[in-house]
Amino acid sequence: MRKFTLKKSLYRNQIIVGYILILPALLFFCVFFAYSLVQAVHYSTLDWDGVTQQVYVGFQNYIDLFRDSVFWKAFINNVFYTIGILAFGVLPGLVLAYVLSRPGIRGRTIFRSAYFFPRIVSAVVYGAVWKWMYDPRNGLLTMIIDFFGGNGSDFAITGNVNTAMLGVTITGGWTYFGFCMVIFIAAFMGVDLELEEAARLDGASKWQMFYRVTLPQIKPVINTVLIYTVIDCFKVYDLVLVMTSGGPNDSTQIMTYYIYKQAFTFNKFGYGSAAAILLGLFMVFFTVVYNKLIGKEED
Amino acid sequence: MKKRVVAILMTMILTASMMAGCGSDGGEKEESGDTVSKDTADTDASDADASGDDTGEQITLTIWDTFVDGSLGAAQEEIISAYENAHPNVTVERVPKEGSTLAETLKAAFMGGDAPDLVYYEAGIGTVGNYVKAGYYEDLTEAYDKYGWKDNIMSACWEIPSADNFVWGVGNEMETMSLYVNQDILDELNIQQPKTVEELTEAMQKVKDAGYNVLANTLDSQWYNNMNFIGTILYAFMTQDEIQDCMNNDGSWDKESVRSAVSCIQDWLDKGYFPPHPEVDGDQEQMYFGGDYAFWVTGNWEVGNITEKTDFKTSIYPFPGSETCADGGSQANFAGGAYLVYSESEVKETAYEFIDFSVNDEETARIWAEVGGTMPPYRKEYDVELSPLLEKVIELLGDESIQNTAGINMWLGKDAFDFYSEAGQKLAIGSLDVDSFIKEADNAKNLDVETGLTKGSFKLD
Repeated sequence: MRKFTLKKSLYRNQIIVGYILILPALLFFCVFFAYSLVQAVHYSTLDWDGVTQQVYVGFQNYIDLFRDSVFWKAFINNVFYTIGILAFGVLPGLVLAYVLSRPGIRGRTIFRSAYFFPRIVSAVVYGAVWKWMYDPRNGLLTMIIDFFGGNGSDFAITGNVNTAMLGVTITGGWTYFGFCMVIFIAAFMGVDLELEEAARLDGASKWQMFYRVTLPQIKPVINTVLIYTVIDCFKVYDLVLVMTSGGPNDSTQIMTYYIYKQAFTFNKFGYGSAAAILLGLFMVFFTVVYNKLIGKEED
Repeated sequence: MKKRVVAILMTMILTASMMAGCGSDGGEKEESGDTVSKDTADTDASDADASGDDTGEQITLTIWDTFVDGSLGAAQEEIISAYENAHPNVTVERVPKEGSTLAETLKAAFMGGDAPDLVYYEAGIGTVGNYVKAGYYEDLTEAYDKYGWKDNIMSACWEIPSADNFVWGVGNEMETMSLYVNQDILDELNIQQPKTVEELTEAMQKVKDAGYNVLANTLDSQWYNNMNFIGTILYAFMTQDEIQDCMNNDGSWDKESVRSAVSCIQDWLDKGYFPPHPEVDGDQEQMYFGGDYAFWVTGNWEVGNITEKTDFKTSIYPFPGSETCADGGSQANFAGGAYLVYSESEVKETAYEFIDFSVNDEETARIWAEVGGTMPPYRKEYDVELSPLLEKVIELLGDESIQNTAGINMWLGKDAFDFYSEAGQKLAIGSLDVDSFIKEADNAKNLDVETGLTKGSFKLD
């Protein structure tokens, strides 16, 4: 009986210590996330410029947003950018990681460092570099096209409403694939090579071995990268600011830049907050649905 | 070359006349007010600070400014040092910031009650009007009277940062848009100074036919490249009355002159006078400095760079007006930023005194011109050493035959500002034509009127 009481007391103490230990993080969360979120929701119901009197307008900001063509343009551009990053960043990263993680590959560390390098450079820097590369007057791309007998100045990638977003997306993909590659290499290094060997002995082709045997083993990592990628793509800001400032004619307008402009350029804090809340809701919706789908698949 | 610059003063005069008719009510009111002489003002000011001197109390004056550029920053540092030497009990804590950074952090500082005593920032109604309405900036009407600023500095300094009988700022820079030409190319092609936009268009065609690049201007994603260029062309076609109607009275942009100005830009785009793909960001400086471009529409902030980095002769001409403009057109000028005093500052008198020292003193005017390479607003005579190009700028600013008017960015509300920030690029890619330009400009203006952040609609509660 006495023994039991001691055990119970120790258990209770452990719980108390546990709560005490998570308290600082919880406080941080409450102050810097929960409180900010509640404030943002509150602001989204206001007609407010950030300094003068607040006027409560209910859901009017949300209604106006649904009618705002630039808001939807920004959303669609973000979707385009996300798909582009999946194509130009995640996919090449996966393939490269697979190649570099194969046994016997030499110079793996050098390749890994070289490909990862763009990720550690500021978006302002590589944005400016790519902006010059795309320059139709004397950019690298123009020079290359001219060298091969074409007319490089015909291609104003960031000056054309039809290609500007593609130009930004390719730049984003270039910085992203190295990051994905490093994560995927770590995942590939942990796969069971004996399974591959068994599949090979059973007569599986290289593609079948990759798709049916290796890939399923790193599926949790792929899922994590995909969710992270979508969230990251909807947060892109500095790259667009440096390369195009959202132009020409809003063809590279994206959500974060749009929100920033509404809140800080036009001083429409309520409207900007409403857009930010909608963006947040979309991200939550996406994550929940995606996780549900994954859960179903696993079941 | 040491020169007694009477021209500077003429300049100011001009600048004063430049805004003729555009003065706000606030400005008018002050002119009728009692003006204390500078000596008296100084005495008053030292009285005000006397407590600090007598008691040995140390005063800290916090300033946020936008002089991040090398020469302007150096000039500001020199002025601050001179001020601290003259006022040993005052320590100036200066924080230079990029304009956008300053705007973002300032809002937070106001909301947190921790704003700097003095801010030097763009002071147009679209930029700071809401802060004025919220009561964050001090009304400087009395300070203007007390220190006699209206007698000694340019009228642009208070006419831009004022509305509804409230003066919230003191301007401290003078900039002007002009036509910069590569004189070597023009001499080679025997082209004389164009006196009208129409003559300029002919000259451009000659330059193009001779195989040179014509205009080193882009209409890209940078707001100032759009705003400065379009503003300059608009003023070449619009009469003073029309400009005042749009800027002071919230008048419609649907005017024949505006249509002609937009058509002119379209015409120049169609004829290929701009660099290839003007809609894509480009380094205008490098284009012009390379020596292959004949014309550049820009402002006197480039004079230092041109003097340093070019090996050909540059001439500066006033931007010509159109033959169709009844009064010959106007030059676009800017008063740069302005000093603004935080209404909750505990050292307002020191702030006023610092402003007075910065804008109303011949020694600081000299520093501003020589070290900063920009035009100070001080109107009285002082000794200063200037480059020939800078002298030309002063000459243009002081030429009474030229009408000078504050550039459009200094008047516009936020939505109109945003429209003009992108309008050039939209014209370049063909997503705007004359009709849609006018329509969108009016829509933006109407949105600004709704918020009360235009000269015509601004009202203090």
